[in-house]
Amino acid sequence: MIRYTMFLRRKSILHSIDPRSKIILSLFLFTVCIFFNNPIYTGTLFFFLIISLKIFGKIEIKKTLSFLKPMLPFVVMIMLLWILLGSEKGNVIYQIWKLKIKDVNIEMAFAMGFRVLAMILSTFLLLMTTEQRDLVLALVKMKLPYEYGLTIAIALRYVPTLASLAVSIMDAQKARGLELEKGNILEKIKKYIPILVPLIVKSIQLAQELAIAIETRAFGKPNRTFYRDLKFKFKDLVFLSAAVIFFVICLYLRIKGYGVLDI
Amino acid sequence: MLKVENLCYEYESGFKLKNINFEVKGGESIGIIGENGSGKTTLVKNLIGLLRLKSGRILLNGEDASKMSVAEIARTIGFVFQNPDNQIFASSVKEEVSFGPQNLKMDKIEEIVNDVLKKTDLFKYKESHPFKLSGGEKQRLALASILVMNPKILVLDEPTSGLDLRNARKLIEIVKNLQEEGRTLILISHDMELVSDLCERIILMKSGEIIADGGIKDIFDDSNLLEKTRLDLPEIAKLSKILEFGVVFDPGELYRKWRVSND
Repeated sequence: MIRYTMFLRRKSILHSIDPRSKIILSLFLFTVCIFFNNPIYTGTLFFFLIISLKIFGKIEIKKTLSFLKPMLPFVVMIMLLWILLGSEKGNVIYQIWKLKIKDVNIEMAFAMGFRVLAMILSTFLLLMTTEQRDLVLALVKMKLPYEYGLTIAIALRYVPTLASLAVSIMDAQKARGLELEKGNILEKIKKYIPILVPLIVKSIQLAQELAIAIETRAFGKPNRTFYRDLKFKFKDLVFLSAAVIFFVICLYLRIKGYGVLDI
Repeated sequence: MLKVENLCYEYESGFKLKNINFEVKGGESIGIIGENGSGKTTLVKNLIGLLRLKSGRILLNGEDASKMSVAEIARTIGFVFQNPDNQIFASSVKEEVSFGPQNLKMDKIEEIVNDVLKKTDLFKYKESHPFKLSGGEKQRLALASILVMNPKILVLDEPTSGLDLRNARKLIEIVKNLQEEGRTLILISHDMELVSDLCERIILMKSGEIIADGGIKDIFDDSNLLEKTRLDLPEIAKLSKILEFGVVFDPGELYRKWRVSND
């Protein structure tokens, strides 16, 4: 079954925080991931995020890991590339033909693996604890023009619709004997034409209908008001201050040379 | 011809098909009815292999259908989806209709396609672009593109939904002709007029279970069952029940009964 959104409804601190604070926190975390290339630091950051999501977001560790699972091949590939094609420095601990596996590259592979996972998690933290409409509203409140905000909202809203439409089209074509799994790569690509054509046509029809629907509801009229509003409360200020302090500490450590491998 | 034994299926969302048992004999016309979300389409998707049952058995002409591919099943069970736009991709009607037979590697495709186009009154549009057809013609095209694979069992999902009276009647006429040819019909519909017009047997579903399976008149005569499933009888059946003539679908028959009772 298709998962339409990453948002998980829970009653937690992270869910109740103003989405603008969470956007800033997410940006801070993402940047901090780039600061360090020591596996102990990036690994700590990764586990810190998982545990924070459990404690402050009430999101089960199993659930977080299930979201990370599709990213694993990508992470493994990065790690392998570091192990096989990393730095020239370091001691050779194993050699296969001309490929030398070095201790420093293994360290870097883990550092980069944890870094990528932590970067992904810092974005997931925002998406798992914020509803799409709140996210878009926050972006608009952060001075993003409403038209762009609506574009993002529509794009997010129509991901599930188009995914479901693609499944319906695939089902309809399979019922006409289309076997997508059979054949070589070129044949397989060709077999997707009966799926892509109706999908594109329907998407254009949907876009046209949507354009008419929003125009009939006075889209583009200036000085619009909002049904929902965001209020920056004291707890948001506390949360944001903690995020700033965390960022400053990490920046200080980085400037002092902590958490950086010499390669 | 088709035997379903203890079929169970479960979606990730938790919705279940529970212990489904029924048998379809050659030439029968069966209406699968029930409220939205009662499991009608899920059941049919299991029958045609788009969903794979968790337990139980589906026997198609004595063979286990769970071991067959969707394409293999399509030779015996043809499923006409509700929305014809979800399948149209070719640049001419004849090309669209010939898609299925090509997938199934059938012989004499042109001959079969012409025959089916005549049966569905689309021969004159043979070279036309499918997107230029009206809603009713597109629905007939969807029927033709399944019929061309010559399935012994034809499954129609809400075939007249969104059609005007003239096009709906035309489609019903074509389906009746197919019934006369001896084809087995399974109809999913909320339109009880249509069900009473085409089917002699009803499978009534509620919350993923079959709660009644029997002759249409017996089921429509069971007030408790109707109340439980909130089924709305065809107007003529309502009138005949008010007049205490039982369930009657034919206006002529109702008139005769009324005359007899008045004499």
